Amino acid sequence: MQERVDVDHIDQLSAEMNINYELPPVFPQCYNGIRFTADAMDCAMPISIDSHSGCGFSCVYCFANNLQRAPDRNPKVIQRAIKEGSFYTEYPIKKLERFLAGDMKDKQSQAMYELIAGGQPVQLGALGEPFDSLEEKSGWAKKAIPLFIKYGIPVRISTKGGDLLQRPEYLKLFENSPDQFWFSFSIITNSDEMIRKIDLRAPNTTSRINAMKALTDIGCNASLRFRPFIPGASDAYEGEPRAWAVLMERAAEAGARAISFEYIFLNPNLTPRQERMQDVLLRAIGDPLFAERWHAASNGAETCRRGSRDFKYAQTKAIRDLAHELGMQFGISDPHFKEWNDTGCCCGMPDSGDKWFSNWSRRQMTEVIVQARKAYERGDTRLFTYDDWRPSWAHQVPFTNMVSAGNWHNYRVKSNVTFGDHMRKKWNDPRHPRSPYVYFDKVLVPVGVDRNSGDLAYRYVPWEPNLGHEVILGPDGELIRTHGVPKRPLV
Amino acid sequence: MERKKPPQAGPPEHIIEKGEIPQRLLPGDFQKYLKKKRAEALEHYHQLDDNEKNLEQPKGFFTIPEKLLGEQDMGEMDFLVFYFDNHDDYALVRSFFERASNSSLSHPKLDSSKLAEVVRNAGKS
Repeated sequence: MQERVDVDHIDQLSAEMNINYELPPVFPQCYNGIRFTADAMDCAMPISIDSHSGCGFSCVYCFANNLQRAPDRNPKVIQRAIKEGSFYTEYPIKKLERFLAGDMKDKQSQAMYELIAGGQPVQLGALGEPFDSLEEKSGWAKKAIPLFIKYGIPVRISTKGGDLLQRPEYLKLFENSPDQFWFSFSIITNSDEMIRKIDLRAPNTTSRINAMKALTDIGCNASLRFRPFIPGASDAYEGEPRAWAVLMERAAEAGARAISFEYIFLNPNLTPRQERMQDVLLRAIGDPLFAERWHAASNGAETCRRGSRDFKYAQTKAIRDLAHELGMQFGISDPHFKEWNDTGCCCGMPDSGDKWFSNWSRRQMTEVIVQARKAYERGDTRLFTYDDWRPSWAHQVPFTNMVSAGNWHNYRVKSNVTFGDHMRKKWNDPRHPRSPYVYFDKVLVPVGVDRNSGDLAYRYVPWEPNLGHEVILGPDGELIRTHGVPKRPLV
Repeated sequence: MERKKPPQAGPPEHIIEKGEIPQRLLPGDFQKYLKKKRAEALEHYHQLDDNEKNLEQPKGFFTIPEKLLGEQDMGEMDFLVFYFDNHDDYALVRSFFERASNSSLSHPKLDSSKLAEVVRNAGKS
């Protein structure tokens, strides 16, 4: 069987790196599982928690492989594995309880308490799976879930762990306060057969949908995390030309109240291990040239290659329309069409009316682009500067707490820079891949400098299909959009 | 040369006031803190601001200004790089700085032997 071959292939990659992925009898209790997400610039829930330093599911597209948590990108991971005798380490439950009880005095926790005071939900399962084989071995979640209930913290759980979550002992955990938990089920394809070739060790689609149904039946919230959307696996496959729609209908039937959608992005700088994992993905979707064509269609200024708006337009629109037809909230974390979010939360949470999940942070760029679009549709031209969305917490947390600075020189040089300073700098540099101009693909456009704050002011310019989207200003400062040179088509 | 004091990354005093969170929490103290802070947090995190803008919009095609008015002092610190020809000097300097010490020394010129001399003298005192 092909998937068995691919699982062996991934095991072989691990063996080549001399990593022992076997689970220890007891996980070393030295993982710092709580952090502000580095995606906080456009994320409505910046506090994220992971139970373990790794994940048991081996999904070949996993973005954590692009980060310093990956053993082939960070020698410290190997050193720690040698020292601790285990590749996986665990976030101590005692530390979690100290955090939830408000007993932590470090700068990061103090900044988090400011958000928690406003009823902010936290993410569980940001870089790894909370209900995988590691959980089965250690039972971390069985101790953590009652703590979240005890301290009244709403939790958004991102998961593929359909098998564990259907077990009575796990369902029972949520019974005392089910509406305090939001399960975002990550599913990339409707096909059980296809998903086994890509999410190599994870439960299949049917298991995840069944778990979604079981959880919504006891009163938990659920949504479909349809990301990454991979052409050839997510949209259609042999025998099912409307696979994307069938999956959405199944999720709606199982009680999903929202969808969070995003097309896949590809990393142009893969490690040798990642290259081989990408080969597994291309073999599964049956398109060996997909990566080449995707990179060719992408904007070369992007760090994460995201194809083009032209290619994504029809499918994204169809998914948005079907979501609304099915009564689901539409959330889109893809920077292309991010302005289409129903609210400023791309996980699909409502902006009012929910006791636990309406209090997400508005102080981020998804809210900016959604409010900019809504103002435009009302006939207003609303300008935004950094001060309009400046999040207080980000100016309390050192930059190097959240983002790898690369080497010790940079750590020293940036030791007094906060993450807020970093975000403001990106806002003021429209050439940077994470500036609103490049990141949202020229939908937020810089129009001048605000003398009051000293920062660039941006305004919204709607995107339309079939236009090479070049935005320029006319001689009197008015906005002119030209057809420009069409980008290379994807197909 | 007097070094400009870099901005501190810690929480501004007006946000986390001294003593507001007690050093040792008793059961219920944190809940009281959250309740007290809730209105303030909701006001800040539940909406965007719409600050008044005073736009300086260039005529003609928009070009990004070379120097933005709001350019920040990121508090980035300079550092000097010394190259050593003499291995003993290198070993001496390294051993000096590797030690836990509050007596950090610097020299304005990139003079490795002078640095070694400074370290040697510091060791004597």
